[in-house]
Amino acid sequence: MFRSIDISSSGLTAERFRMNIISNNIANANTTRTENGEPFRRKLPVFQEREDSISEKLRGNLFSDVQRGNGVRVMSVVEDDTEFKMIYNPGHPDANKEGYVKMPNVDIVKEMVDLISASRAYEANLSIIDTSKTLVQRLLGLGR
Amino acid sequence: MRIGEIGLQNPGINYSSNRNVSSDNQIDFSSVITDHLSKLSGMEASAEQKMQDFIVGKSDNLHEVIVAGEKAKLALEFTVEMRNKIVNAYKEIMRMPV
Repeated sequence: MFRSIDISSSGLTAERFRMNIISNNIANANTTRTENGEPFRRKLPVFQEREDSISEKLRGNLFSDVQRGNGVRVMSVVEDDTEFKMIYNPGHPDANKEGYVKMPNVDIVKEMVDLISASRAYEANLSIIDTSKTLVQRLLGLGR
Repeated sequence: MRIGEIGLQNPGINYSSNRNVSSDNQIDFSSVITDHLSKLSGMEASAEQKMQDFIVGKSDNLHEVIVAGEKAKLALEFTVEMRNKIVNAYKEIMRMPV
């Protein structure tokens, strides 16, 4: 009964995390110098399906052939390995000898599209929670 | 179904953890109820704890707070309904003429 609500809540957490990363990418779209000396590299979240916890497995799901699913969790944050963009800007303090500046590999248009996708996924998870709650309440009304 | 035996075919909440099984394999009704009530109070406590964490600033997941609150509310409504049913059943039995 509450399982689908738990699963959707994990989806909400994951999408919120993704939105944080997207906003970080957009905010750092022009950062030419980071701690390690390179320009900012675009970051991507990696999601993974959650497994049953050990206690649930021991409680009898060990041999069940019905995979009910447990939601999503954030496994790691990886950096995008595409090349940096070279922009010709000789007056920039970070320009190299030929006058080119290495700009971060963040494409704002792509980030905005990812943002739309993340926010729609967030809303979809919200509607699942809403539907589950409505069904449970109608069930209670049935028993009354 | 014999009175006194409760067949929980597919329990939404898994009761098998701490259930008192009396001698001839019947399940003690009072232990089911206390189990359920302790789970309910656990859910309310976790909702309270999540709200406190959010207010203090330890977590910024507002949806966790809201979802935990809704779950606690639903569990409470279920418990109230169950209590109503039990009380009505008791009253019905007491209404039987001796």
